[in-house]
Amino acid sequence: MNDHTASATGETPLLILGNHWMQYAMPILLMMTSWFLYVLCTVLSLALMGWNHIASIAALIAGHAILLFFHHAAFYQIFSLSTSRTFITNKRILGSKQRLWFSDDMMDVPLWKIRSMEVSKKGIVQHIFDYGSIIINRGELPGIHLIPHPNAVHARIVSQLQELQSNFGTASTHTPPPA
Amino acid sequence: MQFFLSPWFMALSTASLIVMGLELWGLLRACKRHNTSPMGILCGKSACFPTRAITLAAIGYVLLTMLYLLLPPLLHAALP
Repeated sequence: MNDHTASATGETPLLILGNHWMQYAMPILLMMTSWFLYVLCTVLSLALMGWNHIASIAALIAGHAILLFFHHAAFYQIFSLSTSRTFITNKRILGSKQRLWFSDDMMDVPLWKIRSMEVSKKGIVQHIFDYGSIIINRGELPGIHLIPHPNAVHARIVSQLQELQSNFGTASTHTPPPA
Repeated sequence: MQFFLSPWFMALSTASLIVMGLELWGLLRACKRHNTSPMGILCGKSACFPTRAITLAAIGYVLLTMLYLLLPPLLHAALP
């Protein structure tokens, strides 16, 4: 979570939110498992080398094929997660969710459209590592999913909404009546 | 050398290199798309893609892929 300074357009960046590190746990586990299986196949291949050359080569190829599928799949997941982020400004919530070559979703929610927000943390892991989702307008608008410290982000957005409302009130009292 | 030229190894290695190339190309495209989007423009240079973590992950990916492509022939050549 980073704080940023004002831009020239009058839209002030408030927060940049990446994915929580727990989301990277699954692909890293997948990668470690595939490498473990690869080493196992290589050791098996070396053990079989004296006995049966074809079986030895087959074990090596099996290890290679395991890595071809799972090593690349793990990095695909890591790259897809790392290029997705959410950005909160004083006017809107911007989010991008990418899956390399398959999808590129972008959300743009103006703050004035927000009527309600809920923080959702599901399961013991999300509670322990303090990450979860923010649901906007009971799911009518796209939410912010699996971000670190959702309660703090919620508080920041609420304070920004209150500031917007107070600015709107001030502007409407100063508006001259129509002639 | 004999191992390098075996059809199974050639096929798997070529497939691995193609997949790696596609992933890195896709990553580059995703970074460019992000930087030209409203998010990227608002972030400015301070938070543009690729970040240091993404660059390190990409370098690690290339190194690990090269390692597993070169390890079997090297082992095959080194061991009696």
